[in-house]
Amino acid sequence: MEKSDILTKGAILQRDQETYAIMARLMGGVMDVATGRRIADAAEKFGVEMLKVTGDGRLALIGVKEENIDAAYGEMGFKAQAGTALCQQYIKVCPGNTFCPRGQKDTLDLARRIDERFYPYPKISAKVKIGIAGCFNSCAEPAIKDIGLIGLPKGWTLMVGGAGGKDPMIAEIIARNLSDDEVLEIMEKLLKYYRGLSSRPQTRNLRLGVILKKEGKERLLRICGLD
Amino acid sequence: MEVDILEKGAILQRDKETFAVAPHIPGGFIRVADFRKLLDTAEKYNAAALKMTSGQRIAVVGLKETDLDAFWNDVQMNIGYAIGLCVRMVKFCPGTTYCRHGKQDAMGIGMVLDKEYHGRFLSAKFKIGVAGCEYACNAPLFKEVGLTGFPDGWKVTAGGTCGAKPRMGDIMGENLNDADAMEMVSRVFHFFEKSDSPPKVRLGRIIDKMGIDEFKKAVGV
Repeated sequence: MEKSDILTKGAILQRDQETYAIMARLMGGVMDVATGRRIADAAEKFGVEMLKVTGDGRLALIGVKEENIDAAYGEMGFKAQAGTALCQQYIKVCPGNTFCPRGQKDTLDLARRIDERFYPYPKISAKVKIGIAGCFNSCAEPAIKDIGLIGLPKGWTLMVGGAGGKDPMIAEIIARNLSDDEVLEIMEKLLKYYRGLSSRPQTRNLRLGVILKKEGKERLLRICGLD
Repeated sequence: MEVDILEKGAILQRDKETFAVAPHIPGGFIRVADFRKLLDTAEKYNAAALKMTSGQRIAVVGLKETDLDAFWNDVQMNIGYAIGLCVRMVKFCPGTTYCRHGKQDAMGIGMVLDKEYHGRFLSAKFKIGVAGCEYACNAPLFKEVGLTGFPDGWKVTAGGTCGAKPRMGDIMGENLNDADAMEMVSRVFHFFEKSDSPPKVRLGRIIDKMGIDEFKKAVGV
């Protein structure tokens, strides 16, 4: 049988049609040295020679054999099933005010809270990329994420519907000056709405930006309680 | 007051005391042995954390200023130009080397462009992105110069940004072979290098100001 991606394990079939790339599950792309060593150990143990820091700031192990995927996750200390949702709901985060002098908000903490509350958020039929930047300079590129957040002195600016890939779209700002809690509440409504649309044939597999264009910004604002 | 130390690739951190450095890892591809060396060196100098960055680098965070030279000496990697007015990075995907979606050799071209342009000083930051297929996983359309691989060749775009004022790049050419695509990158780069725009004004703003037709004429499209 021809091989394909193993979505439940977040394993991406490589060009050789034989091995897979898997991602280290690092919240916000941050790790300590010990975690790094576990990743290096797993890579070596399972014959991986090359790691890749991806465009979204993830760390991928390239060339894992199918039978070693579970063990490689285990060796790294991550759960195998973490993969799917990781692919679909990755949160790209800048260092925020934890490390960066420009950071206006605590991006890493908000990412952790989003992850705790929504991960894994099942039954969404398209990918949901989230970008959280701690200042206007937007190094996590929130403008081309399905859900983008920019931290400003007065609170979070929330934008929706960006995409950077095949059909690029610049996200639209739907709210400003939000607290962390307000962001989570709006996201709850937004994701619930999106999940509902995901189960209908005519709106299946559509990215949030396409939905936004189809259904209109007014409707989205109403659903998110922002009208 | 402490500031970033450009020549050491050191970025002052929030504590106004320690620095982050981002060694040069072309395309984010790093061999496990080199990754281990990076970890060992980070540990030796008591780094607070490592962070995978948007520029496909691994930043080592929380180094003391007095350790910076020793860190670079030990780690045996080049400086990554994560800050300053220069070509910040050439982002590229695994292309036809690893990825089964790859239509063009993004890694090959990416490595060549990286060698040629990474770190070159300019009047504003300048980002280059190379994606091997139309899924465009590193968003080349939102870089100063972007290459997207299609079965018949490269699409080259110019003037993208993804910061405070996001802007999609304009198409400079399609179905270009490797040599023609690199020639196009060179033309756009040299146009920007020679332009007398004030510091920190990115290419997209210049294109908006002069108009896309004028820009195309200026770079010979």
